[in-house]
Amino acid sequence: MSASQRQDLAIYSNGCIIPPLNPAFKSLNLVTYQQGTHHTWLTQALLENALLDTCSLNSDSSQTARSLNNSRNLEDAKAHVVVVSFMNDLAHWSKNLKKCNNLDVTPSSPNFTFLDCFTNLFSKFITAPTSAQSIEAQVQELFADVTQKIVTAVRAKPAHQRLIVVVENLEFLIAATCLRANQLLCQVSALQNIASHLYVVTQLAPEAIDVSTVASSAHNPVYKATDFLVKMIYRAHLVLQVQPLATGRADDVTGVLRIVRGGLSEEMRLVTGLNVVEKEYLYLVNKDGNAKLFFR
Amino acid sequence: MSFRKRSDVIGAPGQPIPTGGIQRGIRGLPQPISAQSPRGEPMTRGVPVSRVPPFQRSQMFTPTPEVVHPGVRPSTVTSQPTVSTGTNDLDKILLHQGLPLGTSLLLEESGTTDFASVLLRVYAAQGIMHNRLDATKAAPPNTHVIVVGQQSDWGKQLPGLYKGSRKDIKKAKVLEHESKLSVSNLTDAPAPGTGSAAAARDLKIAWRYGLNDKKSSGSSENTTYPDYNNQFDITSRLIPTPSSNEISYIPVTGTLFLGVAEQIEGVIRQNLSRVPTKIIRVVVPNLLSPTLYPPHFSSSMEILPFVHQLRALLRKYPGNLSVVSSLALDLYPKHSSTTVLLENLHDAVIHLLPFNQEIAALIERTYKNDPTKIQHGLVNIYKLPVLSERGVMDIRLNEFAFKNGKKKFEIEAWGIPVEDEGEPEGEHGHQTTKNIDF
Repeated sequence: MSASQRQDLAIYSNGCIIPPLNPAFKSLNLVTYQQGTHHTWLTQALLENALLDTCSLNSDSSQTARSLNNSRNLEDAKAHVVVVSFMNDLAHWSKNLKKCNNLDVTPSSPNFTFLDCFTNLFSKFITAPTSAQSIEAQVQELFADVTQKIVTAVRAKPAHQRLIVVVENLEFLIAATCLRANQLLCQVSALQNIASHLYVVTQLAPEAIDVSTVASSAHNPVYKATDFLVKMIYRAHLVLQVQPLATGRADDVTGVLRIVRGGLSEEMRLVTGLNVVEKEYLYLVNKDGNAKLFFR
Repeated sequence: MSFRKRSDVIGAPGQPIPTGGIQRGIRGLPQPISAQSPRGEPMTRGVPVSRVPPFQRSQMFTPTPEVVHPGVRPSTVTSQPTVSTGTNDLDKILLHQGLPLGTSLLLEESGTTDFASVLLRVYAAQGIMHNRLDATKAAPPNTHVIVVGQQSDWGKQLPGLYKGSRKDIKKAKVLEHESKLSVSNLTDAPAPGTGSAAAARDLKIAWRYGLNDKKSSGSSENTTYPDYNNQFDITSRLIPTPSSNEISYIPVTGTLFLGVAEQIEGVIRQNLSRVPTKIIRVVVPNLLSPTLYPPHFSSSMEILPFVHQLRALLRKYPGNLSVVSSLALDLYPKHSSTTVLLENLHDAVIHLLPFNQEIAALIERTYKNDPTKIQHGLVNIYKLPVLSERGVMDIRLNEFAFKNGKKKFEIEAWGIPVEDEGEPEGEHGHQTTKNIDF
């Protein structure tokens, strides 16, 4: 049985979830979710895989991970992980990572950095969301600060260690301010340049996306959200979609995880020789937040 | 020797309290529980407080904050501290038996009705009731309510406690009257031994008519958290009206919504500096209603930063704060980008969908013999606190219905009502009548 046929989560042709370090290649990956099917379980699985090379979704490793009473050691992590969140604080991440992945994440954890762009976003970083003149400068300053903190965090790290950056709900900036999609995409590119693999987690609300919206309505939030999402899909190497079942709610299935090639996946294949294996999983999340995958 | 009228209350204000054997020797009347030792010292479980060593006294009165607050209990799903919304059925469908602290609830409503305001007022009134519960014990205030965008008139319309049906109120009045120390009550008081016989006779009657069959469900929870939630009567008013120590009103007259968020945080800080364990309930009625909010506030660049700030406050004060807002979907449709983003920023989303005229007429026809069964609309669940953010899919559409009555706002499982055509008067009907006559 090939790796892609296993019931475990496998994204690339070699069966891995996050590709190994390649100095000549920096990937941009998009994770989209919808109301009712939140991304938390998937993002946590990606973080666990990045840090310890295990994945609690896979049946064999999950038992080992959960049976451990003590938190797993992050000293020997395979990568340095940075989470930048515009929607949640560290308490949210640490509580869920501890509960589902047995990872003890604190501000002083080795190989893990949390950058809080949520708590003081509109009281400190962005004070004039309606002013077109100042918003670009303020956002630029915010991302310069984020970049600086990431660089500082990984300065003493060995060169062979990967830097995985996860940015949560970045798109909120274009909905809540007069920032344009292109301005935000510039900041995404800047982050991609410093990270080995960048994961942008964004909400895809079908109601708020309308590709027929014309470019003349530049301040229309629907146009801006559509513009950002479409351009992100074209620039991404991998798109992970978490969405509800088309048939509605079910007791034994929470939703569908779709693994789709992004617009630049061919570039990745040429540089690294890795292919994204497109497929769909059904998944079930219980009330504790633990997820289980089923091949579709 | 002086005489009194039969209905005069002995020991009422302004009257001298008789001394001697009459007070001690009253039979069949409840004896007042003395809170003082014979020497006049305050008692604690039969021991005067002055005799308890000081270190033990301090230990007695410093339990954990969660235990102290009468309106907080652990969530039945996540064990987080949870407060009641004041509506028992809403607490149930939120699955936590309430709203976990540090989370927010958005109540959306379609149509021109305003059922959401009933839920918001009950939520605020529940906080005031908790505050007054401890006030009677001379404890510091334990709850504060913040109302955004409304004037003080809003607080005057908070519902009062449900005191039972008319019959129950009448009974309570009779009992209250009987418990008073009056000459007529003394003469009517039963002789020793006869009281228990009367009680036994009452029990027999109660058993005969099934009046003593108490519902066992929820009884254990009521005993564990007796003051967790109350039942409110929306036709009555909370008396006395909440004071400025209990409720604060934040106007939305500034140029930027962020100023409103700062004011809310100011009130929270002010309250928590006095009592760090205080529970703060923030109510945002009719969010973005044109009658309350200036037009520019409806811009996504104004409202989204404000709600984002509220979310940040919830995470900043996770053990003290909860927020409930309401939004009219006729003004901001469900599929508009603003509503989608507002839903994303809230932890729980419940949609009230009143029935249209045809269905309302059908239900009225079906339940014409039992008007208490008439439901007013559907309740759709889109997000649940904590669980939805863990990835649990809990979107439940058209599974619940609500009805708003005098004594409570009920949410129950929804089923399409079957119109009963009515049995034609056949032989059975005649036979039954004849048999009864016979």
